[in-house]
Amino acid sequence: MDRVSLSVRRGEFFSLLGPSGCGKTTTLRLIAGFATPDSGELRINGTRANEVPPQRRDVNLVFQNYALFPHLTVERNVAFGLEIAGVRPADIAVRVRDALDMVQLNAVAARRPNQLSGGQQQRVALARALVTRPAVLLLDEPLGALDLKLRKDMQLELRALQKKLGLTFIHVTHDQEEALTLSDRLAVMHRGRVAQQGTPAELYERPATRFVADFLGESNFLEGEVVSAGAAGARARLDGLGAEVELAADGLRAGQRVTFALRPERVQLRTGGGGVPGWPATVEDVAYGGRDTRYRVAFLPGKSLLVRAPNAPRAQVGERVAVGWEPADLRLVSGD
Amino acid sequence: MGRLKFLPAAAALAFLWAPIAVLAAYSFTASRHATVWGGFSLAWYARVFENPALGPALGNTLAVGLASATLATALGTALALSLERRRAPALDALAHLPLLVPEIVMAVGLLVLFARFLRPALAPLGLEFSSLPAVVAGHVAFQIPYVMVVVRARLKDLDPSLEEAALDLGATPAQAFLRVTLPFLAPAVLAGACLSLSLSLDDFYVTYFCTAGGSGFRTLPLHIYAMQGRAGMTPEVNALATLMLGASMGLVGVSVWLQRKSHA
Repeated sequence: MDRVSLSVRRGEFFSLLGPSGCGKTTTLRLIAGFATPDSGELRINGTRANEVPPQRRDVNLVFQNYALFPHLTVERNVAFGLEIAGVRPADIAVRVRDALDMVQLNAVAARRPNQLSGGQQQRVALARALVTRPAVLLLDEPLGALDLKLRKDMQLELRALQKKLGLTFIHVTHDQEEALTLSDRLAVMHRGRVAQQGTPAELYERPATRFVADFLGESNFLEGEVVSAGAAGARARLDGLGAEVELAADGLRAGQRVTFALRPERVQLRTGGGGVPGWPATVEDVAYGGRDTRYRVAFLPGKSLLVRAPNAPRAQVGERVAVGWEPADLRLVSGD
Repeated sequence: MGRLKFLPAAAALAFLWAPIAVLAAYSFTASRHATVWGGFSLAWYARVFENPALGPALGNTLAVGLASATLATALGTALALSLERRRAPALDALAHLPLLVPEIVMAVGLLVLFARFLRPALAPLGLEFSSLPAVVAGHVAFQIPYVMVVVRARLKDLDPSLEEAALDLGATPAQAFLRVTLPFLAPAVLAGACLSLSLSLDDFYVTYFCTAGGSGFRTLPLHIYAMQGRAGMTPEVNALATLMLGASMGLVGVSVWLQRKSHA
């Protein structure tokens, strides 16, 4: 990991999103105290925490595999942190019951972890980490092992819980949809660095890098070259199209290569043969996707374009169509 | 053909168990000779319990067994933990090798170590390295690798995130070990202790060589050896050996049961 700079606000649901090996779990382990940064500083509640051992950090981690203690009952698992902290037994009983109520698991309090379903184990892990009321709850792919339907339900539950408790959640996932749905803000990580951070809408609508545009949702990429740059702004010409695009970005110079991201749902597809405005293209593939239809159209030589368009009217494979877009839908992204 | 393929296995088992069966059967003979069947009798078992020399021998055997098994279990567990957590193939080999060393070699080695170095070194300090601690030390030495092997088998199943979870919830490393790691290892640790105890109870070589000359220190195996040498073998030896066999098998049984249970 290199030069990762993040700041998470109190009470926020923050996600670290990225492919496996991007450094997101390492970041979480740095915060939990199971790894030490070679350089730089980690602050929790405004105080430097680099040298604080895990047991004295006011953060709790929900492990990817839950890490429930197999020899203890659900109740004793949840009580663990409170027992260590020396809370009075009578108070422990009340707080454990409340925590199990919160995740609707009081019925299985006397069972061992191996007698529970995956979803139940996940909730025990959540209750165990929350019962000591940490300042920050860290979640390492907490829903990764659950099947799709259960995962959707747990996403909503997790979000509701976080809002209700007002705690800071830092959540690691490789599921972009999960990150977009759950987070107040998120950071996309790539090769040990933060590629971009912001709200889900900011990242989706205005991806800064080619990687972010590709990883969060889908994108088409169009290449071009800066033809003029000056105080008034810059213009770029798209390869193979000859069309020029106005650029708001600074720091560009003439002759520089640029890349634009274009969301498939922003591409307009027009059927009806010759005379329709737009760039000519041929439909190569059509896939009905429920909410909309996905097309792959041959566009420029050797280049196809992904399009998501309303289900009707439907174009057929081999049909000549026209594609177009609003200039504002082309997002200038950096190369990696 | 179907039944024939069990023949080699049956022959091997018969060969394995024949001496034990004969030994046990003749412990119930009424005859004065260990090799003559003179009708069923429990007289020799009664003799075992009446024999005044057996009391101290049994006491020594149990003292050596309990002390050595306890020490070896602690050390073997510590060795298992430290070896499992680092990649050290050379140390690994060193820890396993004693399992292959012939016991007589180990025994002679201990004799030389104790008689030639340890006793002379302690003597000027006014300290005597008597038979009991010497035999205990010898037994600990050969039991450690067995405990280590049993505990490591369990340790491989320990999810490292369990200890991290304990730390994360505020436990110190010591608390995490006592509350999470040790309970997880407990069945294997107990199994290792049972195995150690059973190895100790019937050990002859190491005990024989570690005993300080002329001290008269005897455990049950040494006593049996002396009995058959002195008066020819009476079925009392059979009875005693059968009792010891029962105790050893019981301990090994408990050890296996604990290990199975922990893997379930």
